[in-house]
Amino acid sequence: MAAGSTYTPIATFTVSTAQASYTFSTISGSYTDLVLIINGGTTTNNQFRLNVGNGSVDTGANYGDTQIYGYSSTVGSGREVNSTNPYLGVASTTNSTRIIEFMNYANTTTYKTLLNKGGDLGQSQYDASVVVWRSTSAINTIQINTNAGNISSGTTLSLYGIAAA
Amino acid sequence: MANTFTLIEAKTLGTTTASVTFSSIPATYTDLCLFISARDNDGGATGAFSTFEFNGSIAPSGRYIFGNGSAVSTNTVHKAPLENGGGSTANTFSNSSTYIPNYANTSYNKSYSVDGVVETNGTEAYQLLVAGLIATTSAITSIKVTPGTGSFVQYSTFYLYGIKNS
Repeated sequence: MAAGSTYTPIATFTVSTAQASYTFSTISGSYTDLVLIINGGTTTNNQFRLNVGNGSVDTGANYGDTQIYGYSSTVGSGREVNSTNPYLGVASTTNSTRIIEFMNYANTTTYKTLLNKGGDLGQSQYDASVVVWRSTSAINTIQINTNAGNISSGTTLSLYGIAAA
Repeated sequence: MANTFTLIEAKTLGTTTASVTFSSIPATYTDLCLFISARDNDGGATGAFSTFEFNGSIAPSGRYIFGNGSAVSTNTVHKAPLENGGGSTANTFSNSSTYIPNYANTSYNKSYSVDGVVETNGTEAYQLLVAGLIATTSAITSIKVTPGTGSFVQYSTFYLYGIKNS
């Protein structure tokens, strides 16, 4: 993770009442990468999911993701293709930390990739994943949501911009 | 350096040291990030698993994924970064980051994430990913890092940063 004057806070949000999703909109394209820190959980045993977009959230079948995970004594890997709402990892009422890095998010030439890592002790699982959004549009909208239920009250979502120079 | 990522304290070891403690951590930041590059003086050919202790007495719980170049495993035993073993390739030190969001809150337990490696260009290397939980509603005011075996050697470094989200 980069350090120094290039690590700039863009926006932060604290969930006051459990809600299904939160969206960062009109994200500036002036950084090289983005880092999103999620600290909190969900109202029941669920999964964090996400959508991104340009101007609005893309809910089309334009995502792919691959995960590795550890649960109990089992390690494994999973994959989704042509997903409309890619996997970010398990979540529960137990407080957890998730770090998501969006590389070269503002370019208009290539598809976008993000790296995600985190775990949830409420579900006793650690997972890391990569997600691709099959679009050459810049990302200026990020929505964090769940596969079911809500994001818990008290969860914080903090978005930072990192400039390479 | 921006106030969003501020060095709280740097520790570069000048001599062999049994453990490293950051104390009196101010509550003025949103998150903490601890970067460690370390090696122990035990004879391990690759590395060992360090341990964390928070606020003087709290041992965290955790869940990890660990790979050594030939196998991968998961369990709850390891909750802190790795250090290179004293028998590993000369001059190699581990590399890890530990991220603790909302460490100063007094309402709920603290969770954290660890991403660490030991790479020695040898027959074996380690990568460790950890989700940790510190069971206290008190603010985190100290972090103690102890090597998994032996002591930390000279030139091991420990950098603690504070991050503000506004």
